[in-house]
Amino acid sequence: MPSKFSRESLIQALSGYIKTKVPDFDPEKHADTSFSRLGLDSLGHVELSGVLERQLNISVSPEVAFNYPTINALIDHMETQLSSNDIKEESYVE
Amino acid sequence: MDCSASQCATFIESVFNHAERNGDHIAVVFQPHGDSEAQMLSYRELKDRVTSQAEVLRSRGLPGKPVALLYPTSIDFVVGFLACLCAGAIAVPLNLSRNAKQFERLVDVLSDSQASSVMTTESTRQSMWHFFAEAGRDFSLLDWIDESAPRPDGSHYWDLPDAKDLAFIQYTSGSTSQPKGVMVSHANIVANQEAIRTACNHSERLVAGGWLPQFHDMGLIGHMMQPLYLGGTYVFMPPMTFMQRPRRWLELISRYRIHSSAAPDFGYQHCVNAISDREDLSTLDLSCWKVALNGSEPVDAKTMRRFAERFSEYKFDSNAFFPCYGMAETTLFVSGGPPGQGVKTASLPVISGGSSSSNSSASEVVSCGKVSDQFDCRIVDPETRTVCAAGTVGEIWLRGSSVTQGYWQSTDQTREAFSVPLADSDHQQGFLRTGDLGFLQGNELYVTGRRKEVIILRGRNLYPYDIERTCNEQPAASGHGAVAVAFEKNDEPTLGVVVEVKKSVLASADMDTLRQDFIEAITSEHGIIVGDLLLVKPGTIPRTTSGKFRRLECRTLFQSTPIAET
Repeated sequence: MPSKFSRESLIQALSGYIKTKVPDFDPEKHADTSFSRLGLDSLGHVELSGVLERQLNISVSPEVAFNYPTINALIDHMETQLSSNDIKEESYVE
Repeated sequence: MDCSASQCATFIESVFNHAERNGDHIAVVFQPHGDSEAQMLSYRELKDRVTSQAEVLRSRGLPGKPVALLYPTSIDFVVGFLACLCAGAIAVPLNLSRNAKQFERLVDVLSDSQASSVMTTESTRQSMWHFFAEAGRDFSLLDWIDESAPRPDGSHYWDLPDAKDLAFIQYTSGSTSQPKGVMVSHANIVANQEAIRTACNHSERLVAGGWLPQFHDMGLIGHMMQPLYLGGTYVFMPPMTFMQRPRRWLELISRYRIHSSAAPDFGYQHCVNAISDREDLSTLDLSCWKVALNGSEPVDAKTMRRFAERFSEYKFDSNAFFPCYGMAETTLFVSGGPPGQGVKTASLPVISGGSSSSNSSASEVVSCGKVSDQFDCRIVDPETRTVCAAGTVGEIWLRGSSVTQGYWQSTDQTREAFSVPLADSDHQQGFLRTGDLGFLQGNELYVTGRRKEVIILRGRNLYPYDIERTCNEQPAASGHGAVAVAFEKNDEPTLGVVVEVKKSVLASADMDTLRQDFIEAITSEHGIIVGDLLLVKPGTIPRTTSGKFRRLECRTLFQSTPIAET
């Protein structure tokens, strides 16, 4: 079953992952800093989409973090994509 | 055209032979996303699509000419590549760019290859259009061949290419400044398919595959061609799908009962690091996975131990590990096996041959297996060009029928690397010098490092010079003091960069922003994580009296307490 969208839990999950790669990451200070500026490589970008998948229980394009490269941009994008029509099992977010 | 697999003179003949004899057998299975429908093609369907595309190539006069292949991971790539082999065009597989930097590399490779025709899909062509527009390049100079390309009328018979003809050009991950295209003949392909088959003890109808990119030698020769050569099934998924959630690789193996699947050390590491203990893997059964190849970057015994511990409960057999060694210059495979041996290590003997340095600090070296009988392999002192005493470390030199035809459009580099005579023999055919260092013990090859400075991270060769240039080009950099090295951090190879920054900048700049500027530049140009970055005053980096950087000493800067950041 897809999970309900919660901004807070997404921020927490994404931050948890980024901190493993960028120890001094601070979700408040860096909400609008690009992932590559923080030092995340391409694998890191792709893994962020995996974090979203696990958190929301839907399919997410591996490229989504390249196209929406900050915490805020990424979460906003997921929110718009998923609020328009309720989250479905077969959702695939580009 | 009738030949049993091991007698066909070319790879394409073997595939067509399977289509004649076992037309309904599934040749390729593609699993695009996690749980989506798989796409499949039987040998008969594959042959039909390949011959039809080959006719398009012939009608455009492309036999004997380089033809670029620009595809996402797909069955279309398989068809396009085989169509080139069938028509006698020289295939040039390309990496589809996702950003401007990769596009630059693609343009360099395209121009080096001199291909004027590009096989692609309509949607890829459209997505490439804006890259060309942004870079101010003329898209229409290239002849784009996609699904809508007109087919010539009727079916024509023609001769398949000769074994000695060039089949494809494999671009290697060489230094970014100069792409190197390795010329592979039809005969090289067959020779190497036989080397792999024998070493892995593969039988007819082999099921092999995984997530490796199709445009690169290990995915192309190992995953795609080996099962097709043996009338088996090539099962694959996009590399990105694996990166996103590595469990999908293991699920693919379990679901399709894959016998042979390869990855660089990083792939196994990614499974251990990124598959959480909380994930439910109860449906996984890895007992089918008999040959788990590990190659293309230094093989780490620790990684394999951790992988085996984590996945033995899903019936992964640690004896299935198959560390191997190879390169594009030898088509692919050089050494590996015997199957069932698992991970075997030896301690590092004394190094002879001067300027060498091992990539890892460990003195335990993993065996890359038995050298294929096809190769004449010598361990040579790179300075004197004489064969080293048994058991000592030297440069790995090779010759044999899998050694390719040289570098495309580059006779000087070809001569320097591909036909080097030993000092103490005057009439023999020369050797390929691999640039890798290693030693032989009981006919098994142990690879210890690179002769020239190169950093290997996640299966990619990074040239320190390229990263250093990026740093030196930053406005804050002093312009002539940057060193990139690999070091071990928490047991993983990591990139360390030290840059000398202008004094005026150090005095005034916000250090956080300055660090981010450097990190962004390195990451976006080279697609790699900077494990540690030191910004220091000019003159801080240790140098020799002649002004060269002391690289080994730089490495210790990262391993010990960092030197004072100014």
